Amino acid sequence: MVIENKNLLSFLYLSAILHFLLFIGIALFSRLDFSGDSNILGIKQSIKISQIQSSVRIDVVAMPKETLMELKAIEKNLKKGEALFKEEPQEIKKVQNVQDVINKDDLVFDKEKKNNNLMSLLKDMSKKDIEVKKGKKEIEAKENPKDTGGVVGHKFDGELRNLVLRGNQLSQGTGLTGGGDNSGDLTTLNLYASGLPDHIRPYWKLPTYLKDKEYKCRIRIYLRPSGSLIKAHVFESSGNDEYDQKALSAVKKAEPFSNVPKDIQSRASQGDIILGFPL
Amino acid sequence: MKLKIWMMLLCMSMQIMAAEELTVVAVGEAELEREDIYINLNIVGGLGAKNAQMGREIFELLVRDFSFYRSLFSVSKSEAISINKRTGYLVNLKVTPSKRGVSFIDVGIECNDNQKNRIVFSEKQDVSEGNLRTFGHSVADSIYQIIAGKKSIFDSFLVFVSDIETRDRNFPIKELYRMDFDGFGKKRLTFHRGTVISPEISKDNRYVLYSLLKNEVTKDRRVNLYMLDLLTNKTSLISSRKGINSGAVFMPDGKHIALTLSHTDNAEIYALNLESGNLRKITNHFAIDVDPSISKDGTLMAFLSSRPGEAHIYTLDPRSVEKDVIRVSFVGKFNATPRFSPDGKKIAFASWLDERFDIFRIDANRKNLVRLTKDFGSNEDPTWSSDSQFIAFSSQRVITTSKAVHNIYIMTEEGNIIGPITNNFGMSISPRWSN
Repeated sequence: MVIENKNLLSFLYLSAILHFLLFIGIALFSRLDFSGDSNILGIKQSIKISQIQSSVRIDVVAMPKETLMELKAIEKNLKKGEALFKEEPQEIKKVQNVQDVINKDDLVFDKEKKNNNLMSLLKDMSKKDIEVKKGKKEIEAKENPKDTGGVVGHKFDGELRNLVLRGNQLSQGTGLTGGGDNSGDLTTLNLYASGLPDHIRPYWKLPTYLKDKEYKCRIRIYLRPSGSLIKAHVFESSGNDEYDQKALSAVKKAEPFSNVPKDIQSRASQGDIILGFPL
Repeated sequence: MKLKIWMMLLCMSMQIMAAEELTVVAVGEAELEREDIYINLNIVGGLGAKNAQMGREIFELLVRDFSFYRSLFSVSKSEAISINKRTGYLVNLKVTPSKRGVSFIDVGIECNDNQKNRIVFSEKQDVSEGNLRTFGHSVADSIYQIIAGKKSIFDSFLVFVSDIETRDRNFPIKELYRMDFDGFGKKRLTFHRGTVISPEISKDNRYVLYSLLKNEVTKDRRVNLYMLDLLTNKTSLISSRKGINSGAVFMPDGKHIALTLSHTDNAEIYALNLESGNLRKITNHFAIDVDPSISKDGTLMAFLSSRPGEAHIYTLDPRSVEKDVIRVSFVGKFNATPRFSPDGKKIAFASWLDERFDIFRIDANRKNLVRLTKDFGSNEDPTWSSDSQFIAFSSQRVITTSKAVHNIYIMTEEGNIIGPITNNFGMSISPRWSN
């Protein structure tokens, strides 16, 4: 009887180990990317960047009536006009960042993977659903002009005017062909992050000898709820120290940014936003 | 021991699960940071008025040269014994009497990187009156290369056609001329007493191709193709086939040219071997194909074609016949003179809009069509500078019902007009920038 109990115990052990391995296996396949040089031990995982793509359609309207210089002046005026609405409620401001026209400097959202500690994992697991629901509600609310006091309508007029003036442009829209993803799934964090480049661009300047070199670097920022910078550091270096410092300096000069929405304050303070210079 | 293994496995699994998304947002391309350039003239006492004027001419030339790159530099000028600046670059020009006599001046030029407090350029030379501008442009180019890390347009030149020698309107004389990029140093190159059209400079800047319509009344008024050697001033006939022999451009190997011929009654673009004279078709279509422009690496040729019914811009691979033909322009009543930028990324062209021609620009991949000129007369014949930063073009402005002026202007590739480089030089048209 004792022998049978021992067998049972060892079977239980074996079963537990197998179940655990199965669990790890599922976790691995669902969470990790095996295409890169991933290190399973989690000591140093290579970053996986999956870009959200969107289909592009060329709208051939006519020869542009306005010159490039005139369009630039109009864009400047539009930006000045937007500045008038900076005092509007936060949610409204963020909707202003959703653009129809894809420009050279437009925003590209990338997703990356990072390692968190156990505590933040458990915290996030408990918060994630609520965050998504909140985010969706906010976006829905923002899409309804009745709730936004007509400021969005003003912005839309400006962009429509801009689009008509530009004539032959690439525009985000229904993909006639191609495998673009038009889900338009912008989370609150993405919406907030999309507003940051407008703050930074006026300070993002390079001398000629750096501008033509096609360097790229990324700066990780940690933000207080007020939008001020807790810290910023070079997340991915361009290999040229002066270029990295110019990017870092642009971020520091541009702060404080707008207030961080409540539901993403913890993520913003943990450094979940990375700024790409230029991408 | 078992407990340790269990804990390790647990930690591993948790670490794997803890992977979370970061949001990367693109800030975009940086704006260009304008460099401050202070150009200072110091004329040492004891210099005659004429020699002082020579020094002043070099000084003004340096200021003018750097002012062309207004998006890169903020230029300030001063006349002092010495000045101190903490940012940007200080170009100090010191003019003293020359030991070689009164027809020379001793010019010392130093460029100081003010932030690093280091002299980055230094040159001292006896300069004669005839050598002033060449010396000045050469110095400006050297300093530009140190600051920007690439070559400038300062020692480039343009060829163009002018009718300044015309005495009788029934017999127009339109000859080929040359001038520095800033409009100085104009010099006549051809003496045919006919009409020169569509010139083109070779990649090594030694030869100029051009077509000629003679004023003689003959059975068939042929437009023949010639080549001028700028070194020896010798002209040779390249093609005199029936019909037109024009729109010739050099291909990157320097041994072939692409040109439009109509000897088979339909205008097609051919590659002609300059040594053997062998012809090879590049286009082969019943529509009219004219005006070739070849990219720097020779893999793309932009041209004008009537294939869609109206004149539109196409590209193809000129290394074969009708290979990879792509239509580039889709709008515009009449498009003309497509010209590849030297970096091969953009095509400038003229298009008929609002009863006049204006200059437009489109990326070689058909994106980003933009208008560059407007309300500025009728603008045609764009030609790129070798650094792809500027476009020269001819502009016609109607003064009265019977009078119009036709000058050559320079603008930045974004359409910021810098100014005319010809004035009171007859009707100046068809500019072509050296390489």
